[in-house]
Amino acid sequence: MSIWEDAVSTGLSDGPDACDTGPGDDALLANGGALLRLSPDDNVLIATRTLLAGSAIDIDGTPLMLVTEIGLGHKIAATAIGEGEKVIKCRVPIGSATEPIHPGQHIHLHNMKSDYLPTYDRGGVA
Amino acid sequence: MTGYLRSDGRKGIRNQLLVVYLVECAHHVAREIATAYRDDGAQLVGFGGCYPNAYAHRMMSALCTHPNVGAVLLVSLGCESFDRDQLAATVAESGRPVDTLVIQQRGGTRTTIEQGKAWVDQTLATMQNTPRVPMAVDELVIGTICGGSDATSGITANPAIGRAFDRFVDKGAAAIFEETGELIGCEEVLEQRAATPELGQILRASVEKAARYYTTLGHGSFAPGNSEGGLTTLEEKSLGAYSKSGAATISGLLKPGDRPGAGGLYLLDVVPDGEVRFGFPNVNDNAEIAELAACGAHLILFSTGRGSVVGAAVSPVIKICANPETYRQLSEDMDIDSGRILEGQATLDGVGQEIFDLSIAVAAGSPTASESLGHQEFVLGYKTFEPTGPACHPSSR
Repeated sequence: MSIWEDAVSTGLSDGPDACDTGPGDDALLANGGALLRLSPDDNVLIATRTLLAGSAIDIDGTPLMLVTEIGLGHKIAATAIGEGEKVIKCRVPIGSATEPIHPGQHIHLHNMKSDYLPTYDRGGVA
Repeated sequence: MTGYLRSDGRKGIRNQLLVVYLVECAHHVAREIATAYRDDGAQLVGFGGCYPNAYAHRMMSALCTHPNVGAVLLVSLGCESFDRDQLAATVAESGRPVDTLVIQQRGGTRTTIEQGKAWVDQTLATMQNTPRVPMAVDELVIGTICGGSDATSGITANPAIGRAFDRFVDKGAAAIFEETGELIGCEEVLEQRAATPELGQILRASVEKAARYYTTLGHGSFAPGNSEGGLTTLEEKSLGAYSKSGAATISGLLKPGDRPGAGGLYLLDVVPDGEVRFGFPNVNDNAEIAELAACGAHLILFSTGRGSVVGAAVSPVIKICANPETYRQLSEDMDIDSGRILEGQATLDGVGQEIFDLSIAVAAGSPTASESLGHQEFVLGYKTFEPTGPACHPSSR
């Protein structure tokens, strides 16, 4: 059974912002199911399990090594993302890069921000 | 599936006796009464405030006449503002047994507890005779919420709930999603999914209102656990939360206490109208669950990634765990393991079907994990709402 036949589309799939990657998700296939590209237009990949620092990954045929641990559900850059550029997940902009981000780099509070409201963590505004 | 028939024609999937404190000062007495009968269907709800609030009154009236509720015991201290007589009259008009205990007139804590227990004892016995009649899927009202979200929520549990929602709407049931503050960034798509252009503008405005409200407060609907779980921004959380709504046309906008006029998909606007006052719109997940229940939701589909353990008074909660690592930690608190999708052992459609089937089983009486564990969390605070206009309910015109 190819579980990804619909697992990678979200409820958005029938809406105008469809997240419609099918079973041939290249990122998934190239990384033994560990990284997921939710939509072909995305510039991020999602970890489907915790990936340790030093893990070898493959992004569009380029072999890379993870510099930091990537937790389940966390994002890494699928392409180079310039400062101020939108981060795209499931075809939808989810914020902007606050510094240049390299392919394979963890994307989180340290290098992107909301275009709406600031994000808080336990230490205050991130 | 059968339901408990109520005088307004609605049917309940449970037959609870609510013990209601009308101010925090009556909380202890009410809790002592309810706890003694916790395993027999008594539940505790209440409003802590001493000062009047139209929203709280409307919420309490809706909850005390909810189809899952068969009888109501009001516990008042005596000097608080809550209009206990009007609430008691509303419950009595609905045909349910109701009594009011005013602690200041009953001789204090011990006597009131004893009298309350005697009433509950007697009333639970008569509630056994509530008629049970056949109930169809199109008579169900289903609510959904996500709590303790992480980045897996929007990939597994939420879209699987969306699939289940599509199925419920297809079969004529009413399905309600909520938290306009967690739809910030999704205004466009919401507007396009509305049944009428007029409703589309109302949906958009409700999200813009939430954005303004949260901007004034300086804080979105975003907790540290969300970012620890891989969600970086509010709009990323929204994207995941939005997927609970499935793909159906949006039939209307509700405010807390409004009931869906027909089957279909509805958005519940939980952010108060008017100037920002009384603090955060929803202090936690249970405040939102109480509002879904007040809209008549028989049961709640609760998606969690970090791992919430809550249940709720009035409406049973089905917990769908999005994260496989969390599921392994907290399996006793979960009803469905949708993290299997990430591990290649299930599909979104398959889990959607599982959620639908379990909902029917729960509606037929099967207890949820949180019910079995005795969870009945309840929160109600102060808010202000303007009534919804006819454009909010195009299908019931």
